Amino acid sequence: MSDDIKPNTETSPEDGKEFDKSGEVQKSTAEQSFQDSSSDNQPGQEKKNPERLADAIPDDKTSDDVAEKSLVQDSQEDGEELADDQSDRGVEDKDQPKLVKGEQEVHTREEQDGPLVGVEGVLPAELDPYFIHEPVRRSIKLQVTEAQETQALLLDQMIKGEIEPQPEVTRSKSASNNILRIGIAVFLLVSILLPLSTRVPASITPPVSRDSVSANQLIESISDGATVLLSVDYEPGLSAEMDAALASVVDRMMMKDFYLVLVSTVPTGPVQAERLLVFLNQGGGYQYESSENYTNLGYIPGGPIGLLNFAEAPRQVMPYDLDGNAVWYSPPLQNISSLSDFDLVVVATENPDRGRSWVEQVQPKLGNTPIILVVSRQAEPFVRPYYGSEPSQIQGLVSGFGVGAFYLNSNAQAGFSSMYWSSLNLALIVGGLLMLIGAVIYAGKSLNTRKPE
Amino acid sequence: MRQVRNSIVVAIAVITGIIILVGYFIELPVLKNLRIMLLHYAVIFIAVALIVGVVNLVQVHWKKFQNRQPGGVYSLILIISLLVTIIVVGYFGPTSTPSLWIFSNIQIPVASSLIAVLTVVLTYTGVRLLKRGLNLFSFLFMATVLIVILGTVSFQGFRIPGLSELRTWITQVPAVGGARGILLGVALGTIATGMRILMGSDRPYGR
Repeated sequence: MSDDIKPNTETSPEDGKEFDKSGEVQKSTAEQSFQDSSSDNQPGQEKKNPERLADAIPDDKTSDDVAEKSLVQDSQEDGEELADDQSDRGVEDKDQPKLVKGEQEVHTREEQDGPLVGVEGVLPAELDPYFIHEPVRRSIKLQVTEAQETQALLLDQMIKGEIEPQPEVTRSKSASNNILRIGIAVFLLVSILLPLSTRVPASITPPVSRDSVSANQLIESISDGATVLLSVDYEPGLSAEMDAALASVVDRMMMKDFYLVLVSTVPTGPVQAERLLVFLNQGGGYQYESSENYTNLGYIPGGPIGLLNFAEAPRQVMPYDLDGNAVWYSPPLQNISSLSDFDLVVVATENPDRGRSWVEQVQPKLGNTPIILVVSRQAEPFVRPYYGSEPSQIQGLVSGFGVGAFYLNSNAQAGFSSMYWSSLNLALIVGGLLMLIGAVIYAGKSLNTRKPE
Repeated sequence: MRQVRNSIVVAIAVITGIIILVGYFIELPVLKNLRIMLLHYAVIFIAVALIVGVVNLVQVHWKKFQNRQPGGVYSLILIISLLVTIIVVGYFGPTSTPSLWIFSNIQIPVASSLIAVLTVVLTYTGVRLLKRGLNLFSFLFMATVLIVILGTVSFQGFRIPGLSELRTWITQVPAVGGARGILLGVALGTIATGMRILMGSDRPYGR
């Protein structure tokens, strides 16, 4: 920035300050160059040429910059360029001792003006040009390989892609798809409603299964008036299948005048159990009343932990029934202090995990008390290993609607199963045939398109 | 300080786990009482968490309604339904006739409708299963579905010979075998996770 230096200025040899001819302290050339360089680095402006900047710095201060720039040289690539600039201008390392000397002079100088005239070591009132340097330039260029650069670019594109709103993907809703969907729904609906409206009896019962026979025998082997723990652990959505399967078992137990203790690990379970008993009361030859024939202890919170807690101390965990009565001190339950005192445990669930929890947490506490699981068809494969193990961890397994219907028919009781069995039968046939037709058509199309290839 | 706190938390978790685990193998009255007490605490926490969940549900839906977000009307319906159910069940009792009416005429039909829609969707998907192409796995899948469905039913007493037996074999051998494998995997995973928690190397209870 040699053009910026005024010709009527001269530099003081001691401190490097510049004075004009009138004796007024002017800004040093270094300060000016600093300001100029700062102003030149405004956004949108071109960066200052390092050579021009170096020209504006006095020779005795350039050595200071050289020292700093040489540090940059050690660590950064850009420093090499700066060092080259300086070496081109004839700056040598031998100037460095002068820098130290100059600094000492600054600290020991006497005050020239004002009330502190003659006092040594006073801090200068003005900005000392020795401490004004061009800001050290640090390279912001990251040393990366080409692969890293490519990956960074990809990441950048991904992030930009996330920020930019994507156009909503609209699926083409062809009319044929809608017709097919509605047609399937209509077919299924008709096949379900037709047997219900015409009261067509079940054409054939499902084949006899050993599981349902052994469950039946187990219930029959227990004496009348026994105390049974019944857990209703299924969601309302699957109550159609589960009610039908469980109703036949509960109906059989009610016929034998068992005292039922109802619990559930599902929040809606207690109401579900009450609803089932109300329904069975309407059709059976009995009238089950709360407290007299059964008690509803309600919901056991906590999933497997709650079950374990209940198995450890049933009286403490569920001390009252839903009406707030202390039922454990009444005659049917006063002799029961643990779950092993029950004559039978029946668990109805559509969820394999809940069935597993009962087997894992409760079954070991049952002792000789048998346990029967009433499960949906979808949960059966997950529960069957406990039934098939040796020794078996569950003593009875009633699975799904079909077997429930058989169980019911064998006991000659009216209920859900006989009412729904024909509907289920016809709906499955229609659904299966629709899938078969679809499979044949699309498989044919697929084979035709392969032939030209 | 933080390290001390973390150590205390880990110690509580490990000791609690060991007490519960040992209770499965050793029958000691003192241990049993301690175990029951710890389980009581856990169940109480879980029950409180359920209440917190309900309160949070109300808050979220109330904000949605207040801010007039899309579907805010449904949020209002949810809150009103929740309050009405709480009042009815709280006043009349959970097994009263009004409570059973709500359950039988609102909750069960709504939940069953979702399953019914699922039935239609699954049938529709089954019909179009081979549209994307026929290969070995899609063929096997389709064949299994058809055997299980058609092997379950009978039409006026008529059954396709051998189909029912094949269905029984599929549901009781490969399906149960797969389920048993899953159960073994779950058991091993549970043991491994339990051991990690007991050793303090896994801390699912927070930092």
